[in-house]
Amino acid sequence: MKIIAAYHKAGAIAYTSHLDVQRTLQRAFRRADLPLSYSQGFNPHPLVSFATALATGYTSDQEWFEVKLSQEMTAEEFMERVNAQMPKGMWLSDAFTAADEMETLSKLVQSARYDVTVHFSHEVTQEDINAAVEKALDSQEIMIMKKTKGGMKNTNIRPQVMSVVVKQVENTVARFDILGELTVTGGLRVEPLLHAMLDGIDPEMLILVHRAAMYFEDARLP
Amino acid sequence: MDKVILDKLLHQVEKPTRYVGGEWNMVEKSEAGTHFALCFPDVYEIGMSHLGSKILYNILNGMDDVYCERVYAPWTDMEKALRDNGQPLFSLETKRSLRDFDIIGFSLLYEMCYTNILTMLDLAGIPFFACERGEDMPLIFCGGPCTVNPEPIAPFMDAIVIGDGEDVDAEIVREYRKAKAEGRSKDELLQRLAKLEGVYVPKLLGVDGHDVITRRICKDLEHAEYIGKQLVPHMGIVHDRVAIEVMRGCTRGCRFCQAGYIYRPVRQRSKELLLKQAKELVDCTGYDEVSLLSLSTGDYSQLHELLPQVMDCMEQKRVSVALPSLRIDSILKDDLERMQQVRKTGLTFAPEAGTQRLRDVINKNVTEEDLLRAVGDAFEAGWSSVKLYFMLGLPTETDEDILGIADLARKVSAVYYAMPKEKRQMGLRISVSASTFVPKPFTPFQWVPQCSLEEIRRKQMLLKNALKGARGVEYHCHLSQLSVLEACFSRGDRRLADVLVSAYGKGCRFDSWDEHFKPQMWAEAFEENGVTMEEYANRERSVDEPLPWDHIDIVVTKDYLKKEYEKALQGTTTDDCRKKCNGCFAKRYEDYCSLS
Repeated sequence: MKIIAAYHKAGAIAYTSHLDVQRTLQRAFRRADLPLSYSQGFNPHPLVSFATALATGYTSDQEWFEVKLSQEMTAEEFMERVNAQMPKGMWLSDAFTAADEMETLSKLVQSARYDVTVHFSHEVTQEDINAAVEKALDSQEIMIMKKTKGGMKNTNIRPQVMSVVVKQVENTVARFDILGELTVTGGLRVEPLLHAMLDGIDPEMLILVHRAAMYFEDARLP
Repeated sequence: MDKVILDKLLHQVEKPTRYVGGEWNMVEKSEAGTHFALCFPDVYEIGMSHLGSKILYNILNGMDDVYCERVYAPWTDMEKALRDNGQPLFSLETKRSLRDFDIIGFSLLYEMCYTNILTMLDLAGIPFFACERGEDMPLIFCGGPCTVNPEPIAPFMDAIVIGDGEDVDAEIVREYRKAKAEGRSKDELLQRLAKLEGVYVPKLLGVDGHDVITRRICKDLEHAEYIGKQLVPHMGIVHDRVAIEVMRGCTRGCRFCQAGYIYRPVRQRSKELLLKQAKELVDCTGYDEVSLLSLSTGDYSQLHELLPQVMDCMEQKRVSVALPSLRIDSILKDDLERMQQVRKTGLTFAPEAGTQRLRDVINKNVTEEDLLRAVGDAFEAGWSSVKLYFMLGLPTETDEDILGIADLARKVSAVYYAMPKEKRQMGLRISVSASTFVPKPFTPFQWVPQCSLEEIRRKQMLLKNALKGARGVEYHCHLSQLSVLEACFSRGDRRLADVLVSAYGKGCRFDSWDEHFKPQMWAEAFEENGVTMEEYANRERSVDEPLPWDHIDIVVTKDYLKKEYEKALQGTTTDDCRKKCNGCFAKRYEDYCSLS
């Protein structure tokens, strides 16, 4: 059987890379003594897969993943046992059981909502921020440098931006609500988007990204 | 520290996880009267792999009203970020400024981390020299294997622990707390510390009977505190697995190996205890690998009972078992096959010298037959990748000995190809590695001059040419001034403290890391202080001359080392002392060792 669950990532553990998050979860599952299913081959590993990776430094309220178990277990028991072994800043919410045949999460994910806080090194005004955002959204192109196999490539990320709302601007802090595409082949790069929109105001700004939700095409998932 | 400032710093560095803490099993204490900073002067990934620090973290945090937090050397990008933002170096647990700790303890595992000690003190706003620090400064001491010759860093330390830290570190903390409660001055505290066994107070050398400091030995390992709950990091570290210390000390007496002398006598843990520790640590960490550690685990008297039991238990939990530091002459054939089944860990053998003659000189008592049998067993058990460690520049070494290395490598290759094709695992990789010999204090070779770099280069070329065309053999050689510096600091005196400060001022950091090592700056630092590397590293010392570490008594006598040196020059071997006591301790310490 498989269990689909979402983990939260908050605080210092946000700086753990996705690869290390995988290892951290594996260790938590082992401490919880879960009946994990393992892959075949020389280096067997637990069968855990993620809807998508979370960039290092981002916090999140909804990182969906699935894990295959070799014995039946209720979602409640799964959550309880795992949460007792989760390190500070990570915990599970929303777990449910699913059939093995269900499509993998990474194929179903479509978009995500982000709550972004920006700390500027000087005071900023609502007008300036609104203007910068509008200017970026009005254009057909928002160009960022993206690292690809062939080297750094200039990429247009405008098509992946679904919406940007300026929620609040106060002194040196601004908050944004951003909706972006998220698919198995990639998704909206939030931090580069912010740089592209706001570097003109302050290239030294500190950008803190929080993934508030993930949306899937399957009706069974939120 | 303010959250926004911390986030700002973390966003400016690679691997921010190095500085955030929050590991599974991290200790949190809301209140404590005494704050202890356990410092490892290298980056997180290295420090977190150190066994001794894990033990001390547990012991110190087990003390009532004492909170022990960790601080590692900040990587160069974090050092810059801290300076740019005017922030002090901070601990992982609570982000407390290093300056605000009561006691600071450094673990010194290798000499080339010394500049990082200065970085950490600098970023805490703490003066380097003990004599420049006032009453308001933390008590600063250190421990670890380097302290057998502590003179190069003695001027920076209030106190230095020689030997096992389990008991004495707690004693230092207790004396500190007592002195504080009584309103004593730092000097009065230092006088009391100087009376503790194994504690060297540089300021008080020669004062009031503080003439010789005897190494502290934890005699009963079976009942000593161990790791407790091992920390599980959120990023990869060098040794990312459960650490089980099987025993301490070694009976083989290889003459180049300092650890073999400074950790005597051998003290074992029972197999019942080891199995129990392994289970507990696996359960409380979730790790999928257990390592059985000691200087020579193959010599553990109950290995053949322990190993199958551990492997059975771990196999059920899908945990692999790693056995590093295995001597070639350990008989492990059946165990090898089982180990191969669970997970493929690499196999390393260290013949150290290419001919029996030279192996006899250095008392590494393994024969060619031992090596070929061991690799034969390994190949048959499914391994196709083995590492062979050698050293260049050993005393009495001739070109014939170097060519002997190539000869051995070719013979190992031949063993593989002699096996029927169906039986052998594909892709033979024999990795030959030859490092530069560094003579160390408290070994029979402490009087030996280090070979010059030019000579080492010549020897490396000789070996490289001799290995050409050997099937499946790769040669890894590394020529670096680093080994010369290591030779200087390991047998150095207090004058080197000034050299260290100069080198630090010129930007020397993380010297044991290739990408940061600045040989030119070091050369300048030596010159500016009127000393040469040659006088420390390449000078031949007379066995009668006084040595900078003569005031340290590691329990093995100088007489014994002299005798071993003479035997080395004759090419005579000394047996494993489990066979017969060789009398390395003076009569005074005979009862320290169960074998004497």
